[in-house]
Amino acid sequence: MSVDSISEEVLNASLAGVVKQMQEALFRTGFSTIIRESHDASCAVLLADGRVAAQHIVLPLHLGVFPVSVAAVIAAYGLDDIGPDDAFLVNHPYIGGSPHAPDMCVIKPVFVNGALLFFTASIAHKSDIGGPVPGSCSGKATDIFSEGMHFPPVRFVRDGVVSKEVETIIRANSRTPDLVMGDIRGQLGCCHVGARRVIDLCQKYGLETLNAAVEQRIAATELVIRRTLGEWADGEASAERFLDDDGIRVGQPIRIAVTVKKLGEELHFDFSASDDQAVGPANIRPSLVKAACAYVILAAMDREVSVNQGILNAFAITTRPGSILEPRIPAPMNTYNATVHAVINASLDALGQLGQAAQRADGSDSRSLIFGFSRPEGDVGSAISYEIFAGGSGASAGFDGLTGCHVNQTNGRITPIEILETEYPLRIRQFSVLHDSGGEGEHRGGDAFRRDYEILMDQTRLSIRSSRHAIAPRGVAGGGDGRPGAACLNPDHDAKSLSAREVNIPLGAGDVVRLDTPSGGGCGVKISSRRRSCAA
Amino acid sequence: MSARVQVSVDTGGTFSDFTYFDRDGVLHSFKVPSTPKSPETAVIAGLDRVIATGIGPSEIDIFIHGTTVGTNALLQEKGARTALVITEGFDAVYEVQEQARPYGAEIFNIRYQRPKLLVDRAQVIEVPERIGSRGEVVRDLDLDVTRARLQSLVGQDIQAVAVCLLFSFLNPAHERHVKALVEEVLPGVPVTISSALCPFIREYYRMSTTIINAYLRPVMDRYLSELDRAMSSRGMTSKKRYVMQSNGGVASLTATAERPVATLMSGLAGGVMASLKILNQAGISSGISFDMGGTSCDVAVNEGVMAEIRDRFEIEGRHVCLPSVQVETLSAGGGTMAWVDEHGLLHVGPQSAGAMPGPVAYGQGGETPTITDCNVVLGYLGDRPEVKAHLSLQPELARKAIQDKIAAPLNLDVNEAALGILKIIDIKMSEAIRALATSKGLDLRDFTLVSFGGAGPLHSSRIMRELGLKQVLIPARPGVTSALGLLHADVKHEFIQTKPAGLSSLSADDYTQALAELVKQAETYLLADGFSPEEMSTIMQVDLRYQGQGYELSVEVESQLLDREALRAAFDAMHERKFGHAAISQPVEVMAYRVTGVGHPSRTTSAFDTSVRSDAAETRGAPTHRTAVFEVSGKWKNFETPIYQRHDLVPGQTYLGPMVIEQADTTTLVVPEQTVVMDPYGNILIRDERVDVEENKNDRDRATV
Repeated sequence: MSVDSISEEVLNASLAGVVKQMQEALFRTGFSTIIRESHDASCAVLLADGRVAAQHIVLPLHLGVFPVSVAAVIAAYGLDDIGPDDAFLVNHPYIGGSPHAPDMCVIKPVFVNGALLFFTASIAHKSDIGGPVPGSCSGKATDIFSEGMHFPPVRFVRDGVVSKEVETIIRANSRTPDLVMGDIRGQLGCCHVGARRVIDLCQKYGLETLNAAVEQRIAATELVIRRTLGEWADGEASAERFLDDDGIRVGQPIRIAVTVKKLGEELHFDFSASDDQAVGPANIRPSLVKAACAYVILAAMDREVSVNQGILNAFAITTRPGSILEPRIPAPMNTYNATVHAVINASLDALGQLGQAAQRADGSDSRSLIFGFSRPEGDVGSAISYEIFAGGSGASAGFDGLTGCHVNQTNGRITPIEILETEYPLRIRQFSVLHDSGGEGEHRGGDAFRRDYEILMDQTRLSIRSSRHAIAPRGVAGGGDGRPGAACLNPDHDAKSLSAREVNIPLGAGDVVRLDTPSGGGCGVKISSRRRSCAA
Repeated sequence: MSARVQVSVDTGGTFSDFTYFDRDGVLHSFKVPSTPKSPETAVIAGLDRVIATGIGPSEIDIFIHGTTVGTNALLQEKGARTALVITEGFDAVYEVQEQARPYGAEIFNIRYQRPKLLVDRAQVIEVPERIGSRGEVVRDLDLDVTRARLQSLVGQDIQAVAVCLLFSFLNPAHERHVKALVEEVLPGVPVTISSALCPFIREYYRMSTTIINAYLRPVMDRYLSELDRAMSSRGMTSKKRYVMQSNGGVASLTATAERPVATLMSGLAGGVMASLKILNQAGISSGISFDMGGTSCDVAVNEGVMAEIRDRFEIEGRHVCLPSVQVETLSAGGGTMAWVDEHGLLHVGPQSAGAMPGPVAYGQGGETPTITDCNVVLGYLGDRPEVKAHLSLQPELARKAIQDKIAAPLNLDVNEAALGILKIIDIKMSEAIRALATSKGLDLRDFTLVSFGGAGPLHSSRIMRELGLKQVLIPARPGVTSALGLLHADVKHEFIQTKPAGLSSLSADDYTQALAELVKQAETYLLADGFSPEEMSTIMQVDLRYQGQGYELSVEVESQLLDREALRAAFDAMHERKFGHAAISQPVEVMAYRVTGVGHPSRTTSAFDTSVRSDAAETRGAPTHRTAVFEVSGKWKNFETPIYQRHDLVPGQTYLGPMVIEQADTTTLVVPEQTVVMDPYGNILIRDERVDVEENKNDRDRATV
């Protein structure tokens, strides 16, 4: 069956509304600040075989998560053992599609006329799911067993009843059980909202019409992307980026390499030449690589398309088993963001060489500072300050980079100083722009910033999960590189340099921690130097 | 004779809407073309037109204005040359902003740019000082160094100064000293300090708000001074001259000139307040304000009689932390365009044909079919008197455009294409309203859609059906509803003190003192405005949050005495209602105290109590008929549709759709299987009632006798 263009657009606009409504429900009912403020969560409606029918994109990486996770549910339970009032948890990076274990999926089947025809699903970052460090993300992990609890698909709700056993296990293993269970309940609620709407749409328009509209739109999305690719010049280009290290083999850079081949309407990203899997937690799974490439294509296309499986179907990737982009279990992966940034930067670089992506210098990736405070007995307040920082963004043709701004897949807002100092025994001594630190060029890279923290209480501990402290963000088209970041202890006396990945450094009252973020790369040859070279 | 004439003017992009009560309490309205280049010209022209009707300027008691002067100056970046004074070592606060891109499409924009900074780096002055997180002075303000650094601004043509120091909301002493120094070094330059404007925790948002305020002050001051002078020079003596604020209340011209940032939502607030007033009068408690015009559609969802207020909002990527009515703007209006792309996919919006060239049917050179063109082709929209005055509709042009651009490539007929385009835009608006309701945890089934603006009443009957709402309400004057809302506004002064403390450890005396001081301030301001104690009221609120949460909720309290348990219970209940869960074991913190002083200008008449004609049904004009196309069971069908003039409707009489109701400022569409009744206030109420065809026919016959 096929439907006319009007019905196709009406139903797909409705489905886009359904996932938006799911998202609003999750933002509203999610308990943790991570969902409510950082919006680290996404929602989708999927077909029974796990293909994405519609998704509201909040974080681009979540695009690749759901198909793999739904396939895992089907593989683990079989279609016969999935009931209309069941729901499943999945957070396993190897068996499901989660970037790392704290990103937990809730998946709910949707039955229409007694048949399993759709799934609704949501993913949200959890504040803590166990493991050796608060927040479950240890920069020194060497296997996934040091990265918190894992749920290959596990049935969490059977016939409408929440599994007491599963809930008990989660509660017993999280440092923040109320937050985690509150968020999971919020996710479950939003899956119900989505399921009700999908059933309503089936009743209003007919299941066959809905299915046909979805199938047509998935095909159309793929077609639009492929046609756009078809307009690009054919060619092949390679690019590489380096990570500082994996946190374990300190000082040993890791190479991410891509060869992009574009022929007709086919686009292929080959990452086989990337380094072997890392000992430390810098690995990512192919589903994440795929999502990163989808980001690159959508960014390069500069055209809005419906968000569905068609995006993922429009191109191909190759990763090499045993490499950092297709590691073997149980290689760790909790600091995946630096690797994803490298995949995106290298891929954009390669597409840029083919003349198909706007030329843009690299930005500064993202990093976090985690302070742990010992609190007086009986005070149950939060004792962990967790902050995420960008640095300067990269310049591009026509534009300077921005001071302190996220790029690519990361987008966490900065925590206000006044909130930080009100809640924790910390004083920020400066939060200043490192003027003219951005890479030189016709357009300058975005400036970095400096934060100095004065510790006001003994028995404080610091963890750092940063990147680009050794290798600077790269300039483009003759623009200069940015400046690498740095961290140190007590910069004014007895300065001690800190590495990009530190775990539980003991600090006392009066200690000062300094973080300099990296600055963005520049774009184009600096005008004055160009003049000089002309004269010479 | 005492002054009793009340005048309001709502400045829009194309027209400025005037409404006024004359000395006999009779309501009038008219439109004058807006004059964006010198916005006061249109306002003064309208005032002169009111006076020309024989109303003496001294008879004017109240003048209320909804303005976009501040908003436009900000959007066009045409504010003053502004300097910024900050705590030494913290220049990254303003530049880094939120450190993030907006969610949505910008995430995929690898060349994302922030809006331009309103203050250049060279005009940022860092001063040696620091207040700590308990309000204590960590580092004294160095007056000599500060003065010396401020000197560097002399001769730089600085027109305004913003001052925002860390933790000034707890201890404003340093900001006040800096203000005095600026006034000494740069005499005559207006200074905005954050602790006086918006004493909220979270330095970036406070700084951004303070800068925008400073940036707009010279513009707003000049504008309001012109208006003030014009009113006085014409002989108006009353000092009740007000401007609508983002929070839905009004403030005097003087107060507004000092706080222009508080008017950024002025234009939208009138519509929201109007729809609340209309619902309130009709005894309806939950409503959706739906104001659809040529390019966009403003939607607010309100449960209960109070406007929902948000503490923070964005305007084109700039952040403002001052209370504002909660209203969302969607890109959907009469001018929204439809097209088929090169891959054969149909798109409806968000692009708009704007005022020029506008819809194809306007014959001004537009070639892309718009929503208005669909409404014309389907027979819904005819030549209305006020449309005729400017141009004549050309349905053939619209039909041809839809045929060539949409129907032919999609292999549809013209009616299918036009109905389909309307269906898509209606679904998009409906989904946006649904998401908005879900974000507040509201069930829309009992909601009334208050529909106004030039295009709202053409779409609301289908949107009601899509959303399963209770009914649509079309107010008596849909084209000037926002201006009418202004006539009902109260004066509002808001005061806040941010003072974080654990609820369990908070001193009861501190609590009482904080609220009492704010109440005193509010009353002082209202007295200065000339309100008697009987004409004023105060609302007290406490901002609370669960420890560690990134957001607060404002809980209203009746007493200045601290009742920990009651406060806690009220907060838990509000959290449960808004977010679906409460954390009854989690410690709660008080973040801030708020007091709103409300002055109620004495009024005798309601602008929405429109007297309806009382003459017998027989004396009213009979409807004409026109062929209009509606969808029935998935197929289009022609209906000989009655076209009523609104003033011919008999109050209390039930009419059956389909029908079209025309009036000077809008056209209302009623689709088949809906009923229409006019209530005693002159509002049109539309409901979904599936009546069988035979009965439908009989009823329609009866109604048209």
